[in-house]
Amino acid sequence: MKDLTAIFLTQNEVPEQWAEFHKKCLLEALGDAPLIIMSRKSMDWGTINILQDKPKSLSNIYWQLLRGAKMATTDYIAVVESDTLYSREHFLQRPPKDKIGYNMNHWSLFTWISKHNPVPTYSWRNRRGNYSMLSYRKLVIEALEERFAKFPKGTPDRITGEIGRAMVERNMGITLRPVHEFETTVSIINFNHDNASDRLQLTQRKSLGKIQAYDIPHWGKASDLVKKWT
Amino acid sequence: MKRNDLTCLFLTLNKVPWMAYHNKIMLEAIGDYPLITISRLPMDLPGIQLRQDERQSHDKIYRMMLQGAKLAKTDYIAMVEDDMLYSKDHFDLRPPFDTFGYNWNRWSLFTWGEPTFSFKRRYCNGCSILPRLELIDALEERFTRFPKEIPHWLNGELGYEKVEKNLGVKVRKSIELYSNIPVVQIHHTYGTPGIGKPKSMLKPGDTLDLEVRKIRKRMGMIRSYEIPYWGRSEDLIKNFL
Repeated sequence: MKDLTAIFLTQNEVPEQWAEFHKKCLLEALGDAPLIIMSRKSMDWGTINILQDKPKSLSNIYWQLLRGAKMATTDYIAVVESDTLYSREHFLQRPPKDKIGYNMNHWSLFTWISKHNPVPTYSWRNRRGNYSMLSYRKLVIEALEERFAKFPKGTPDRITGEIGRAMVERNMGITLRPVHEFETTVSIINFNHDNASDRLQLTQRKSLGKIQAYDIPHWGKASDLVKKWT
Repeated sequence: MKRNDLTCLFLTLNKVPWMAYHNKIMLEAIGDYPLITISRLPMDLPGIQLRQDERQSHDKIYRMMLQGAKLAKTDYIAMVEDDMLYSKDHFDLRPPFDTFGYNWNRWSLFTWGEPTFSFKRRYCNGCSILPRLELIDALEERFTRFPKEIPHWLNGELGYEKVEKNLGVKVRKSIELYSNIPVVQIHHTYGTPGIGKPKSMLKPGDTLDLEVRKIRKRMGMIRSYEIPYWGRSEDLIKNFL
């Protein structure tokens, strides 16, 4: 896999054992694909590691993604987030070069138990997440450079969101980027936790998506997988 | 609380062997809502019963929907099929009066292969909650345009833009709805047979064997072995083998 670089965005705030488990899964999935780590603390993985140069914010996520994309040399890039598990199949996808690609086979798994989430449950919503973005590199650079040319001090949190989300790009007054949605047979698992950027996750008030499952191929039971978040 | 703004319209050819199991679950889910059944054989069910012959076609399904909708008196029609398992809260979903609603919380379960729930992001007639007057208007428009028969390969759900554009009829509004408890659709070999497209539109070498074609539907990519309410796929499928 020489035509794709994974851009790993992390604040180094996830639990230690989880970080080890995540690393193992990620490296298995990536194989020999290049990896660029954009982290808050230095990470000795024997690969390119750049420290983040702006404070934590939603805008910072896309700023670091832009920096990583510019550093990469491959045709494609894939976002990797520290709270998300990927399969090899995901990184083998190649959406059209003129569209932003999103893998729509993504489950959320909450790390907390609440009245909205009484037992560990995978849940799905019909929306695109930055963690599942895999696209032609030059298109990502073009889209993000347009954002930051318009907002040189960073995009306001209240209007910041995924590339190719019409509402986000309309609110920013920038080009609406066409999107290609794809689905892999093995899902992406996005853990929802109280270190996330999303206020609803921070306050554990987020509700599950309506499509729900307890046991899925490859990753197994939600009640077992959630224990990895320690 | 008894609600009387929706009629359940149950279409069945009485060919599936799991009817007793299905009907028990169906009646629990329907509760007090009125029921109209259009079946090939007499059935021990409450409500109004009409008969249909044993022909199978998509055109016939939509003609029976129009027949049932004209007979009903409620604001809404909910379609009920003999290979779908419903829960009570599915029938409590309501789209606006000018919009066809489809419950997207629908898992598919195949009677062949490894028992696995799978999910596709698309409309399904058996998951529809339809404003009755809009339904009548839409189907009358279709049958005025195609008085003899709507070709199999053109037919499809109300409010499905691609279908309505291909039919050359008004594109109606539609909306995704989500029940709390999912609907489960069983994919089996008793269903409406057919090649779908005219033979001239098939890919070279494509099989014409109807038995083979019945089991070549592919699962959705989002998959599960266990889901809320219905449990494990390997257990649930036993009711349909």
